[in-house]
Amino acid sequence: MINKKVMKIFRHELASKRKSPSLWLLFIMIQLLLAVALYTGWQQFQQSVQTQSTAQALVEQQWQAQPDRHPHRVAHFGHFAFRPPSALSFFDLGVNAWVGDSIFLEAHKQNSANFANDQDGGTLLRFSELSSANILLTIWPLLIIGLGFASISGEQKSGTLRQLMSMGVSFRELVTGKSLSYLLLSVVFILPVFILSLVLASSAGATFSSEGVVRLLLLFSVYLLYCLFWIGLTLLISSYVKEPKQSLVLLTSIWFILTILMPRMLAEFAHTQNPHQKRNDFELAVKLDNRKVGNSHNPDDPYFSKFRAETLKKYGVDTVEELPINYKGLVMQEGEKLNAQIHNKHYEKQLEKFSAQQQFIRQFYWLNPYLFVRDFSMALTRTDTKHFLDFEQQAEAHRYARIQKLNQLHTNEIDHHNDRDQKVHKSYWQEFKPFSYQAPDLTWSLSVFSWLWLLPLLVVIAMFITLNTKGMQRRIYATV
Amino acid sequence: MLLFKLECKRLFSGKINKLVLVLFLISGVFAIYQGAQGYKNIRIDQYKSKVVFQKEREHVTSRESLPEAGSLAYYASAPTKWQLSPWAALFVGESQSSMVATKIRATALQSQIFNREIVNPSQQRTGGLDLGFVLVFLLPLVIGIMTVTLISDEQHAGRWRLLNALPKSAFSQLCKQIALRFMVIWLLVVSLLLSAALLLSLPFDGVFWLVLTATSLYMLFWFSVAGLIMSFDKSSVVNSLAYLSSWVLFAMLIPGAVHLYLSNQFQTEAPLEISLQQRLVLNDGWDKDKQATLDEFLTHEPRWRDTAPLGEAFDWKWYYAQQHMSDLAVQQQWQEYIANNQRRHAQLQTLSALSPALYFQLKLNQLANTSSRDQADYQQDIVNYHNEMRHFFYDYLFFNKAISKEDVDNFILFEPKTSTMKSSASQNMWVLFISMLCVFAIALAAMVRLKQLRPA
Repeated sequence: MINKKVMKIFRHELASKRKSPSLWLLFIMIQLLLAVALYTGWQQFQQSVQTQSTAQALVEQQWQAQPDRHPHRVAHFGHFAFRPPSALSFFDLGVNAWVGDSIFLEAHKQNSANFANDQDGGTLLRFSELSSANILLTIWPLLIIGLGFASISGEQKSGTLRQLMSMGVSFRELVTGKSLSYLLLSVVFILPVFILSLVLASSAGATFSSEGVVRLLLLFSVYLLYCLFWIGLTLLISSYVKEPKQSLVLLTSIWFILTILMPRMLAEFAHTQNPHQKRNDFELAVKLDNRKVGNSHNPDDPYFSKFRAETLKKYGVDTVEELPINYKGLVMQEGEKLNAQIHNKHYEKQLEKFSAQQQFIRQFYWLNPYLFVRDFSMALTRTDTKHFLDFEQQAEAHRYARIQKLNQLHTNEIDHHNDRDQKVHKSYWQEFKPFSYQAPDLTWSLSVFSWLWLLPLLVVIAMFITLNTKGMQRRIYATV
Repeated sequence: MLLFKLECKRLFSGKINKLVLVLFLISGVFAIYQGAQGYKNIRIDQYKSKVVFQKEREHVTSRESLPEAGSLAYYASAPTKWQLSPWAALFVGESQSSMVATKIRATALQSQIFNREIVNPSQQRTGGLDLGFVLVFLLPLVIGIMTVTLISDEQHAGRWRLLNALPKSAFSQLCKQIALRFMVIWLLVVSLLLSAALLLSLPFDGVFWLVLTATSLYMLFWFSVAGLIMSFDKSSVVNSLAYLSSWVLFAMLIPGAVHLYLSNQFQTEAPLEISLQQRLVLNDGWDKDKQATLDEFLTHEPRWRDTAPLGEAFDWKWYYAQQHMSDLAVQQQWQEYIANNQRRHAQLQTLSALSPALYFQLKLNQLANTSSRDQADYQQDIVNYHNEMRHFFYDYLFFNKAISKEDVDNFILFEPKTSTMKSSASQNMWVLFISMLCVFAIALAAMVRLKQLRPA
């Protein structure tokens, strides 16, 4: 398929692009932009790692430094879970600006992640941050369009296409040669940012493993696929539309629809179709359900009366005072269990809504590879919603285990009589394991994509096949 | 008239022109519809919070005996409300991603104030599509596609030379063409705004005219950019690329850079530090001498100085004193944090002059009361309300005054401050006037350059 003629076209195309000063200028600007984005991303990443790890260490130290206390006092003192930024988040910031970095873990209550960095987001983040990924996703296609919008229609208009054909260059060879040259240019221009990312990531040390290299390689390939998509599209439009100006306008319109308009419309539409609950509604629903089940503070509450009867029966005694353990601690455990179940029930519902929204958008991956590459890139860099929710769930699991451990202390180490005035020894606080977020592995990160990556790939392949069909060739020959 | 008809025909004959106009209209209608939905949800949220509180209050007063004041205060989560203008449906700003009906109670403020709205972060990352987006970012592209190749198209068709030979100059012909495009797009914008106003029953008051004038001015700016680009007499392709580049610069790069700069310059860990310290103080209080805490509290709140000393048993008044002391422990950091935010807003205001798109977007959000500055005002309202609410309960807590059902019915409710909206009206006129001067200057420059243009 690649013969001498193709190579000649390829070299000629490269040479002609090399001579264009405005392209040089644009390329230099893009490189600068990428460099700035990567640098600031890296700075933010380091800052964030620093903040989160210091804060986590601080709260662990505060926890262990507690004096003798009543376990339930400690349960209200609570703990914090911090979300360390993922190793490649300096490349793709993903949803990071919109989600909190820390969760306060306390008894009876599941807090949400607070302290996000979304100030002025409604004014300044309308196109998301200037991260490397975002530049490659939205601005880079414009450069490819700029490179290639006139590649066929221009040759056609200036009459050089006729000359080429008469020299025995087939349309197929022309397209292949040009595609190759644009691909090479794309590689040359996106490679530096990936190499730099690799260098930066590996300098981060412990947080970066061999899996990180695989992730980066996959990132590179998916962005290359994205380049191929735009190259194919540009050549296709350039072949169909006779006027270079028209093909430019059409291509930029398509660019606008695919990267700016459609993602927004889909996201808004997905939200209206599957609305999740707002904070107040969510908390109200949890509160009402909690009220229904029972109030552990009310001695005549039906649920807890039954619980008391069962407990007494189990230990074969008549009053809670006779129990070998502290009944109040048991009630705390039971209350926490119920409360967590109710919260999880509602939380699951929210998760379902979120994933239904995402599911809706995923249907359009084949039509709009921008969506696919954006989401795939976020998954690879662990910066998508799914990874954030995973943090929230890990934090909740940690909260539950920690509080229940305290409730067990309450049950076993505190006497029922005069409960409130007792304390347990501070050495117990050393027995609690610190919170550390377990970053999911590659298989988990990509699990939602199972075969979805195939569709955009097929679309790209189909585009190049169309370019190489006999029909296309005839069409071009007819108009030459 | 004949010429006018001809021009209209030419304008609507191009497939791309039609496509772009239709796309603009669809996006506009979609944005208005979505905005109306979103705004409705906000209103429901605010209304529901009020009703829920009302119900809880009725529930309390319907009981035979009221709980003691301390316990009542503990469970009284009163609603607050971010007073948005109905324009918030069209220019959503921060209103869709932040709390618009924060519930607040008399316990420590600092453990409540940082609560966040539940959002789907993926949706937020995408950027949202409100009418503001359509006007600020989509509108310039429509203008560009329909205008920036006017001269080069004439040249291409061979008419430019001909037109220049006519007694009526080619310039006046060009002006007519541009004016026609301006009118067509302007009418579309007006019909979008009108239908939005009718749908959302927006009042046709100063704000409406301000939005319309500002949008027209913004349109004029982009027409001037197109004119300036055309005046260099380059090919269609160069013109289109130049226009697109200026759009990318003003719409994406400058706001992105401003965001980077602001996050860097005003980087703060204050919310985290405040929360950590406040929690520590709050909890250490339980291990401290309770009377000492109360005495210290009373030096800050002398109105309740004459309260009786604490007894052996748990006392709510110590509890609330201790809660407030934990707020006071981080007071300085909190004030610094607020000052930092104010500086950030001021800086954003200044920097937004770098890009008309950013400036216009910010102004629209401010008109709708949805900018981060308005959010900060709302936060201040919450802080003030929290103070009032605390003081409401203090009489009962510290002077052992019995709380009656009437007292519960007279519990102070949150009142949003609307002063910020009104005081800025005259300021808005000034801003509009100055922007007008700037845009007119650019437009004039473009006109002068275009007039000098002669076929080579």
